[in-house]
Amino acid sequence: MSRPLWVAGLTAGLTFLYFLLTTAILIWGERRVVARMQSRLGPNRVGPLGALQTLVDGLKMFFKEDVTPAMVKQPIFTVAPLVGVVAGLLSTAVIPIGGEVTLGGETFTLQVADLGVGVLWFLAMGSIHVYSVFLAGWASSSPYPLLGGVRSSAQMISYEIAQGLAVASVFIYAGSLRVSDIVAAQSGEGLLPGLPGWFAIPLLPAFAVFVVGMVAEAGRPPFDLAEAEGELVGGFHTEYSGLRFGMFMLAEFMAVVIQSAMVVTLFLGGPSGPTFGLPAPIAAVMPTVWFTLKTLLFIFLFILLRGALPRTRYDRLMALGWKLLIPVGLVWALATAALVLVREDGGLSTTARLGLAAGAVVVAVLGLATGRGGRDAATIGRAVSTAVRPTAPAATDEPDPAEVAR
Amino acid sequence: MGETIAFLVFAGIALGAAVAVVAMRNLVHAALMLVIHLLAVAGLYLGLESQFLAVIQVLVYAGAIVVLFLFVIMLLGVDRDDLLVAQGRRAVAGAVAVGLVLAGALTFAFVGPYTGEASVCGSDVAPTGTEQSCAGIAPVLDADDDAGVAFLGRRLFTRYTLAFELSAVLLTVATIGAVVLARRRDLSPEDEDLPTGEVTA
Repeated sequence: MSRPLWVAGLTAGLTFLYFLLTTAILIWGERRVVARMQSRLGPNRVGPLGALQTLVDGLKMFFKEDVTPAMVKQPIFTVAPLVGVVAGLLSTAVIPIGGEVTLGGETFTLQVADLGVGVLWFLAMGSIHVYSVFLAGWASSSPYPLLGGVRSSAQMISYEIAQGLAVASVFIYAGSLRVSDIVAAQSGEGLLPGLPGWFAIPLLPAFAVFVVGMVAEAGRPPFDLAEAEGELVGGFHTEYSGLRFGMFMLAEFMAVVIQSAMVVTLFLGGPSGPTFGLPAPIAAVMPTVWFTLKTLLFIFLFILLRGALPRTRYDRLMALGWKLLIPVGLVWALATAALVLVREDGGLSTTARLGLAAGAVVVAVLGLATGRGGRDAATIGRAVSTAVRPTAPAATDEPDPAEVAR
Repeated sequence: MGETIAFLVFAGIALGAAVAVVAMRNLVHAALMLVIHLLAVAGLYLGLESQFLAVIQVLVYAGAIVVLFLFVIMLLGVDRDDLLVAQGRRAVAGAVAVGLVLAGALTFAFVGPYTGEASVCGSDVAPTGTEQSCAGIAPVLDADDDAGVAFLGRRLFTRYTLAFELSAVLLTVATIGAVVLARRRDLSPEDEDLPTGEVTA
């Protein structure tokens, strides 16, 4: 808290640059990898392996004509894209991108703000992000964008609950909402010797819920129903062009990076990792390297999902969220609370703990196998899909958005 | 000093936005003003050293509840400007009367007990009658706890359990009431066995 202003400013600037650069890497990587999966070449003209293509596309966005259709509702039409980008950037504030670096006599903690409510801040900014998509759809005064906006808001709110429950398990297990405490609680050894103390292992169901939830929260394939081109033209951003369209793209891709960074922080130990006894200047950067590697792993997962899976039907998406993820998240939050209470009362042996965990998994699988049963969608999914009906399975080989924009 | 400025700014925004909520003719704009109001109130909570309440305010009210408001407004297509027509004189008189009663009740319940001399922190005046003495934010700050989460939880589940349980019952009743109100009663007998979702289409 007692950092000089320039240190705080520089940290904020570095974090900002870090997330922008990672987003650029994501866009480039996605176009290359998806192209490879579809037997295409992908961008390969600008820079080595086409790495500068994103930069050039961004420049093009700046100079493109920004058409404002006559019937849109101002000023909301203009504000909506800004809300998304700003909320995304604000949520990066609580993510630690590295350890402590000493530079010019000052110690930098590579985290903009270690708030006492850290992870809740991230969730809150995620819920503000909903407004961007939603208001864009409404302010366009056009049927397809409105449908896209309504769809996405229902989707984001539903999966926010699931994600929130998954995060609740982490809070309960770590005993704190502060991000630095959660990262510290994951250092050292885990349940079994030799394994890292990452929360992904003891909280595996919560981890799974969070990972599925983050794909839906970021609105990415196979859950990108907000902009299903096959049926909604382009969804909420149909009426946008030029720089404002670019802002939506930036917010969407940045959401992928932020969600990946958050899952790494919450479940995979954040920037912790071995330093191999390297000399001080390199060892100080190692946490950032570890953090980047782990984040890139999840970004790669996002890209693979996009290349491999067809879009889900809307009612199925809602059924998955409400009937599977939320119950699993809820049960696991309660189970975690019980385990923590037992641990405070003296604790069980590791064997007993593992046995209980295995039993819980069996019960959960049995419950799901018998409880799924129905083919009907979750109530909310049904209510919405009556209004937002058609959803044919989309082709997987759609051109990527950046190319459509051109 | 900074706290006072922050309070004045946030209170001003909150009041202005609250007035705008009822004054705006477009329902969507009114709901957005409600979001601004809720965010400003979250700012006021921050000024009271309660990070947790502030962020929950953003997460639950601004992030979820108003989104649902907007969701309903847009799904029902009631976002046109012409919905609000001038009301009759009796409606205006009724609204004014109810407003006055509400203001009086709030004044009686809050302003009296919490603005007397005893409620000022550091004063030695003993509280009389309904007057509350200063609680201050010292216990929250003293509690060994980030953002006051544990303190809040302990209070909520011990001293304020009744209020907590009552609000849970209230929410359940509201949910059931909404379902009952939304159910169609004019179904023909052969439609009865369809799942309800199919019918609402």
